[in-house]
Amino acid sequence: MRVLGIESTAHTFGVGIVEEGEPGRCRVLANQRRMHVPASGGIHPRVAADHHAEVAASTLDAALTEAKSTASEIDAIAYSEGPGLGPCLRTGATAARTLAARLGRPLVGVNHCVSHLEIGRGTTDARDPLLLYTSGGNTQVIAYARGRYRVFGETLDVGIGNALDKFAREQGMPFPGGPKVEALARGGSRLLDLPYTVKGMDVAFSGVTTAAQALVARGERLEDVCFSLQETAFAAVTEVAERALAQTGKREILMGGGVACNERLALMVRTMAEARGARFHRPEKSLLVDNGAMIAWNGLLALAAGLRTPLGSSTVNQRYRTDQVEAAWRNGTH
Amino acid sequence: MAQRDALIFLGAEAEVTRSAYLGLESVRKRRVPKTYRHKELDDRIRRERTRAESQLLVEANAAGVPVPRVLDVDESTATIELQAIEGEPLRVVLERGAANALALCRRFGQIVARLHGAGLVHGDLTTSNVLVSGPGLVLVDFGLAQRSADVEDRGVDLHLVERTFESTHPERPEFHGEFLAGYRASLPESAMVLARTQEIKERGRYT
Repeated sequence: MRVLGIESTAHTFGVGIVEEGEPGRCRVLANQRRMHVPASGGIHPRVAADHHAEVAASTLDAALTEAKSTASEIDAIAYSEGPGLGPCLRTGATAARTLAARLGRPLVGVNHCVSHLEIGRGTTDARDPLLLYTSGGNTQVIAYARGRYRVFGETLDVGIGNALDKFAREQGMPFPGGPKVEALARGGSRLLDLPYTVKGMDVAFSGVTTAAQALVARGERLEDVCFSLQETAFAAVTEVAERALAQTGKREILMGGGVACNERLALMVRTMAEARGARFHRPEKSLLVDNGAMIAWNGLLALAAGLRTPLGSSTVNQRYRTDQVEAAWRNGTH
Repeated sequence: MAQRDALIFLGAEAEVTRSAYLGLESVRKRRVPKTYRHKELDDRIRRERTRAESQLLVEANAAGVPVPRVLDVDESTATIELQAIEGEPLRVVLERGAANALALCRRFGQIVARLHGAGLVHGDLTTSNVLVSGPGLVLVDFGLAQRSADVEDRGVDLHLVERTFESTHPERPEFHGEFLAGYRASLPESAMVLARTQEIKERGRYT
């Protein structure tokens, strides 16, 4: 089965095409991404949606070309149903619906957060991992327990990437600021005092952004502030992941989301995993960030388990929760 | 350092070992260094949490909540020396089908009400963190405790109790019923907390 997946939850419009190789292994045939970069400020949902509508056709063509596939060779269409920005999600869903109707192929909507986990299971050796999902909009610790994917810890305010981007924006760095903060942090060495907020299994980041700005205003070196921001915020999410590992008894940790591209965060999580005797997994970067291949792969799993989304009810769900997902493809596993 | 064989429990954050303090049997809780964290940050966090936990235990004790006595605190090694409590977790006693099970659950509710009434919340209120010791109960592990009279924090405490009863004793709803009866009878503003617990439950988070 060859599945085409459309991702459009936030700034990225992505089209991926995948097949199943060995049982349970994802083979990525194409993974095209087009990112909306705001001229100034943060993402405006309608402006981002306009971007997605503009690039949709050419991204689809590029994905088919990359996969050396014709549209008629696609067996099914998957799309990101949520959670995400309403206008962006609707643009992706419309493209998916149109394609499914035109080709006469089945359609299936999938959960974006769960797709980050499934692409890790499909492309690394992770079997039943705890996912540390860190991105702009999301920061969650997710694992499969008692018949469902469940959230064991999450941010109480903004996503960790959002906190980094916002700080970077205030310092005049263009979007996305996370990679620039990472580069600057390599030149830092002094640990400055910033709030470290872990509440039980949850984290919070809005205070750390404000405090970091105050440090810059006070005249601290930007490199040292970036260094301290990363050390503090990343340690907090790593601690939450560690608590969740202890609580769930899982033996594998998987990273996902755009912030997982950060080498310092990856090192912290790997160090924590090794100290606990857990296996560490991180998919390649093009599969960590928002992408269509992960949507396609989750769609393939869902379709193989008999799930379909009828065209007439192929809506989006901005607040689609991880624990609402009917993960039928995992029945009988753990 | 306590010896390896004296290890009682190894959590995400701390190791708990059997020890001795001035000839008394004690329990030593040490927050172990985390190598993934920057050393200065790690030292600061472990020191602050050790201080907070010991202070909250002292406050709880002063308010008449049965908790282990704090014998000694060493912030530099993030270690708290506690009075050893003879007894078993409430969970184990309930699983065994103890004859006084309902009375113990009611007592558990009274103790939590007293803790909340003293302006404290526990943060990890499971039946594994209540020990049945002699005729009474002792509340342990204040690692996630906070000073708070916030209805949300109290509601989170009760929500965790409810989930714990549901997962360990699904066939005995009266355990949780007795717990609530004890809580209601001992905290004047309990109705507000119970309403919030219901709301938290409907949000459907699973921690």
